[in-house]
Amino acid sequence: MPPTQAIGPTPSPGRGGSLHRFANPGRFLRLTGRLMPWLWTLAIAVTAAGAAWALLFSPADWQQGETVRIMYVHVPMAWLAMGGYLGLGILSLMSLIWRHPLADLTARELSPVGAAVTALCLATGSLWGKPMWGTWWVWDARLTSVLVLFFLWLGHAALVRAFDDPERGARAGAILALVGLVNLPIVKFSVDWWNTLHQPASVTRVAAPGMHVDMLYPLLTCALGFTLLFAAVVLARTRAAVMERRIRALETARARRLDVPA
Amino acid sequence: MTPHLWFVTVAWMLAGIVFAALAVAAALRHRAAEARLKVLDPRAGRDAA
Repeated sequence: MPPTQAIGPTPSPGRGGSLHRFANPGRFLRLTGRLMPWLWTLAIAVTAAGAAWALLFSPADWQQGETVRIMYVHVPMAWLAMGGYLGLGILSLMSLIWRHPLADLTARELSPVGAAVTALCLATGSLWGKPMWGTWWVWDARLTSVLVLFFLWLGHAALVRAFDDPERGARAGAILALVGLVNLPIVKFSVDWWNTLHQPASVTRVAAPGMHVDMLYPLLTCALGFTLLFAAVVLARTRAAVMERRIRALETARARRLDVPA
Repeated sequence: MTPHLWFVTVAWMLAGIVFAALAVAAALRHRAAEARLKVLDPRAGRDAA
């Protein structure tokens, strides 16, 4: 949206009106300002507990040995890369259908963080693959589709910043994000649809998880911790973006006042 | 330290460094925006706190 709308009236609610209550920048900053210290504290505490549990107290795998401890960081990054992209798709829908101004800003701030966690997923997967498979990389369906997901995140981050008019950039980014959603089921089911070197799902399969609770619980704790960290970073970036938009609006208004002859 | 533990160490360090960098960058950006907003509009500065 143009910067001058940042301090203007809240858009007419219409359908999805309850969501527009949060379109007011002042209200958003007040609500999230109270939430942020708690979110950071909880995120750091849960991630620290999960890391200690995963690295010190969970057992080594009978086949993989100590290398299995990469799983506690690799799997949460993979879940965040996919779950975050689903979030980007929902924000894009909100942006295109309801023109929700915070959805645009949040999507813009989400994509670099999403790209970072997807890069971490690929890097930690490589670090796990080398000792277990004997190679850093193979062009199998799972690894390739996650690489495509990484490029989608990067493409969105670049596209929304490529226009002089932020609203046009947000719309182009939203369309790209929605088209890219088709890649999510490909990532998820690639291990079932094709013969891959990557193992099939073991935690999220419909039957009982194929993992002992001594490994499952620290994995879920790490996943929760990293998810809270991810949310805290995205929320902090969105708060900064809201304030920067208000700064631009105030500076533009001040410059216009100075331009008017007395 | 076994060779496999090196892979574990590098993986966890990468995650720690990336998340720390993201958090510090967000905090610095947030602080700079908050300070500028307080100068331009003290009422908005109170909202942001």
